[in-house]
Amino acid sequence: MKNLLTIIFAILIQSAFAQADFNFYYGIDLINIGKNSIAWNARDASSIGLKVRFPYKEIYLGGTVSFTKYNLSRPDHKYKMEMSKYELSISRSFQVKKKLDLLVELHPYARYFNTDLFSASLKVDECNFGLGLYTGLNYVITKKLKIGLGYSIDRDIFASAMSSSEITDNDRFIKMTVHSLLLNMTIPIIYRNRK
Amino acid sequence: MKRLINILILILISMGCIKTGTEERSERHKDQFLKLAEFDCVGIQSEHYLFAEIDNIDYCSNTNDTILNQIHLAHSFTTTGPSTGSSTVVEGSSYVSVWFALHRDYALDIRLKYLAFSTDPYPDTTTLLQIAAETFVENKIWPMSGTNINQRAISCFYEYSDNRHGFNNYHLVSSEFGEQDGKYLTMDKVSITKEDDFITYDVELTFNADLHIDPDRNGSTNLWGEVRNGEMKAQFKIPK
Repeated sequence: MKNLLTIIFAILIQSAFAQADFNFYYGIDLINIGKNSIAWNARDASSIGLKVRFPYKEIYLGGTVSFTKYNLSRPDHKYKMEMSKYELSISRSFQVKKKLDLLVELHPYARYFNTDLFSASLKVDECNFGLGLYTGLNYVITKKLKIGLGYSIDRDIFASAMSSSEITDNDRFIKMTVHSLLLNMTIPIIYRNRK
Repeated sequence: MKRLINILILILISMGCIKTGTEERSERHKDQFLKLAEFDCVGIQSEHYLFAEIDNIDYCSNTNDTILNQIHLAHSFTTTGPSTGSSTVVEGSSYVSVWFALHRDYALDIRLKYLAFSTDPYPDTTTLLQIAAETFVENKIWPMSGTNINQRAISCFYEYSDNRHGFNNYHLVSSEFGEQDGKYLTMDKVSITKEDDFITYDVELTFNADLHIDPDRNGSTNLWGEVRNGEMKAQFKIPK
């Protein structure tokens, strides 16, 4: 499923539009997984990602693929975890100064947990769905390069249901709220030979 | 510039897609038990019971019409081939151990889940009665079996059948897959009644353990759950 989504995403951004903004970012993340029956914590999280935005009238439509690493820990035990996230985004840019603009973006997403964790007190389901908000400033260095700094908050709304009548305690599913500080680099591409 | 973007996209794809479809399907079966383990605790409701907190979540088992005091002599051995019928037993691999718990009888068509105990291996000529006499000794403190325990011990495990269609595979997390520091099973009270055909052990015990994932079967190692404040009151009838 992840392979398919990634390939579809890559094909889409390669072929669909005559103009696109490619944005590569590195994020420092703060993950809150809520309260559980023991003191689970998620720490030392960071992510890399690729955002693509296509101009459509006054707004941008696009998508994001990102990968996150973090340490999931309980007292005296620490586990290295990985997850990936696939977003659809709608955003709008506002010019603040001549070379400075503000981008505001809303993105529903699917979060896949790539690393298994087996626990009596925490259930890491395969996929969570949520909604996120990003806001950031971009500074134009050249016509082909912008750099920026932004903040995003993502909140998992529900975990995908597993087909079992055994699940009675939904509080044990991992549900994340992720705050991220994003350093990004945007490369606007115009395919001049297309009509 | 487009070439650079293509390279960056390929890097992202290669980092994200690290499992094949077959691997993902096999893992779905593999971790079914571990994800779905639930504890339906209704408190102590019968004379014979097992209670414990697993990661601060209550687990309990009470004897009734179907959940019974169970004690089994388990015979384990390795064969030279996959079939027990046509293969021979590898010399020196045969041993017995005793399992005891409160659970339903085994069946192919029901999902079982229970917390249980097992003794260390004994020579395969040892009887259930002999092992029981050595195991159920009042005030004896047994170390919990673990990778860092070198003396004779008792292991605590949680077992669950996945009840897949046409199968009923059993999976377990156990104390013996990880380290046990300061974890014990204490035989607080043992009463022995001898009858013509049976010896009956009335046992009250307390225990603590850390249950770990089996690294050989699951390809993952982590502490699954901390078993605390465990107590068990059971009656085991052993034929003479």
